[in-house]
Amino acid sequence: MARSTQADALTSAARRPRAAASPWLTNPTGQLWHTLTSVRLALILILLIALATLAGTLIDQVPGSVAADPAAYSRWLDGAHARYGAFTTLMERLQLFQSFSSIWFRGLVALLVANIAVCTVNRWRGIRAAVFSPRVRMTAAYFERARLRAAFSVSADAAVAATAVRQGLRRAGYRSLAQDGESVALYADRFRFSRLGTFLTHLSILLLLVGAVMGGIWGWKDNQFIIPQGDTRTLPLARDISVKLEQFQEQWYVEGPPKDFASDIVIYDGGREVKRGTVRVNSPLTYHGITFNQSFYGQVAVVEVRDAAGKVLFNDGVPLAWTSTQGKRPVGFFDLPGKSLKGYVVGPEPGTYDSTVPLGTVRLELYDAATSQLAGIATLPRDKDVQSQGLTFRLLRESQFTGLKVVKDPGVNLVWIASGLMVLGLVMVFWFPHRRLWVLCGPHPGGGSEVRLAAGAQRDLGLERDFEQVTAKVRRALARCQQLPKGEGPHV
Amino acid sequence: MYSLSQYSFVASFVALGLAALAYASYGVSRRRAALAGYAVDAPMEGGAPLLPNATSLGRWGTILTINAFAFLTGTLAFRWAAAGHGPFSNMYEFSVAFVWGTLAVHLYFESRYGLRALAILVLPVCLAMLAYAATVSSRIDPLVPALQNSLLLTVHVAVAIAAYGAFALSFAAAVLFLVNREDRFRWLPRRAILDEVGYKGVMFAFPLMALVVILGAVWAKVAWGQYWSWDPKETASLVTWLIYGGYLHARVVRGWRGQRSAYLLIIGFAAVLFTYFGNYFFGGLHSYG
Repeated sequence: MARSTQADALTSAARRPRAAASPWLTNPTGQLWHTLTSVRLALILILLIALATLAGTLIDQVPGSVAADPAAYSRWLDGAHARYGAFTTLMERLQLFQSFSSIWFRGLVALLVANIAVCTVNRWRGIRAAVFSPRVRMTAAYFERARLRAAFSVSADAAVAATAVRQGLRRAGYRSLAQDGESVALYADRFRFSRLGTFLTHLSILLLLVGAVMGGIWGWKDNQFIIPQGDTRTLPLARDISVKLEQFQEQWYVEGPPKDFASDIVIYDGGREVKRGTVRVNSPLTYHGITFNQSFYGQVAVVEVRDAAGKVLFNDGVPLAWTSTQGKRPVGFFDLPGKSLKGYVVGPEPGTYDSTVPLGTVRLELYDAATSQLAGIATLPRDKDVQSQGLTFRLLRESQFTGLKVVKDPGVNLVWIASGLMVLGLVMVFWFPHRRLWVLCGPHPGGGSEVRLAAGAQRDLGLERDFEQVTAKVRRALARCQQLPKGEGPHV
Repeated sequence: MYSLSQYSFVASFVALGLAALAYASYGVSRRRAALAGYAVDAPMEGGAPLLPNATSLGRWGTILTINAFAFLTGTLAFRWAAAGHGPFSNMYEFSVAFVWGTLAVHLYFESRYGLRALAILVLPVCLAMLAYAATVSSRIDPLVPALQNSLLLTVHVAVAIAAYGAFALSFAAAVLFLVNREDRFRWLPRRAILDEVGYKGVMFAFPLMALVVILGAVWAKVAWGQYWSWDPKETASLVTWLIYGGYLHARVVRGWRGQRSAYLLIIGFAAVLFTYFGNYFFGGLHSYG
């Protein structure tokens, strides 16, 4: 079957050039519209998006923060080279390491959007007719051919029988429309709005994407907003707003796993306190559409640096928020104003005995800011002055920092609305499918009348069950209407 | 409570094993009867039971499956009581719940459409899943902070289980469909019915799968700050949903029936399993269990 249609398509395509020019040339807009109405196109697009998504899952993806920094990105690519070898360059060209923001992925989604929109417009008229102005009278042939059929002979005339049938249909939850004539034609259905669910679902997909795009255009996020305990830091992407960490608390179960991470924070807008609260993993804090989520935490080393004259050059908490490549030690850094030096502070490796960086100390590494050459190295015990590069360093105390994820996403509410519509639409379509059947009540040649019910063209288990139930209800209603019907029973 | 849950698990395992045996012999018996020329489908349509042997074996299969289902309900309920939160927080609990959902959907379909023969395939899948559950740790661990959201934990996973169960059933119907080429095995349900049951399963599960992904997004927004971050598990569940979406479009709009749609159902279930076991293949934010 499939093969033969495909073969037909091939032969007709082969013949077409001789008969007429390609429709893409004669009527490009019409042909474009026609292509976009095709469900085959939708299927191909869904398949391609699924494959692309799968590829994005299986292939390592560059984190956004790395992709934004060329140096970090080239380091990341070196790492990828170890894994993908000679293919790395090609994969990089094809944007396979940033699948979900690549041109081809966006192109596929855009095509699908166009496809959905065109399909919706194209099918609207047919569906509107099926829902709001269905065909009431079916041909006699339909009642012979339909997949599900039932027939009853009653002694009452057609109009009386039709009234009884309608009563039976109502009992079965079906509404019915009648059309009088020499015979009474009935159309009965239930869940007719189910058909509109299709629109709801497809509309919701478009809204979802609009929401996502809104978030992409007007939103921003900061995955690593770090505040040492007691400090106040300004949001780099919303400079009016600053956040103070009053306290960070971690709790662990006796069995070992973490129990709770909580940051007590105060939010200031333009220097004025506007909100105060505790951020936990499952309970973020929101201010003006900006959400603050608990993301990570770590150790802070409060370091003081003085020059030879005793003047304080630096006195601040250094969050050890990064991890060393060797030994997995926590690392933080700070700049020395007026000196071309960059200081790295390395903490002891957690969970083991670290002989290089003993517990209770930090290791200080000084690098030349311009050349990145190691200039000095020292171990800082707590509250002891250590000299290096003509400067005095001192570890004042240790404390903790919290790492918050700060997100502003003006599209998020639209995303939730779209999600709700999608579930509603899908439930309508698949859990309450539109069921319809037709009835013809006509005079019987031998007196009385004949009632015929018919439904369906294709196999449908749900419709079969429904049809049986409806037929039973109709039979009962007819029996109640007057004489017992000499029913032939449902022919299923 | 915890030990009651464990006993219940063992009882369920045993009952399910026996049920699988009963269903297998039911299949064999039907096959013999079919070869001997009996009308195999007659007993299911309310006629005279022409196959006393097969019918009673099938009934035993059903009774044992109901038992297994009841014990499994006990396993989850006792565990719920013992842990104080929905038993959906590690691979042991997911697997037990997965089997629970599959059995629930199977029993529903069996009673509604009289399709015992699906069990011949569904039950071994369930047994394998329970056997897997028996190999992973069943200890009740306290909830890590990311999972401390009892409403979303319960609803998100419960909906997933219902959806996965129905997808498993569709998968079984699709496999039997492909096996029963040209209706050559009269002891199996007819292909047309299997095709329909596969579709019914997806009709039931597809809206639920959408809800699973959406609830996941809601939870991601609450716990991680972003509703979508292309985390592997998120992505895999989206791919699964897309495959079944493709199946529905192919079937409803383009009229794909039979073989091609059966293959799609098998691919879809492979995606379900990939999503389910995904946290073993790749890291990401879902790396609990």
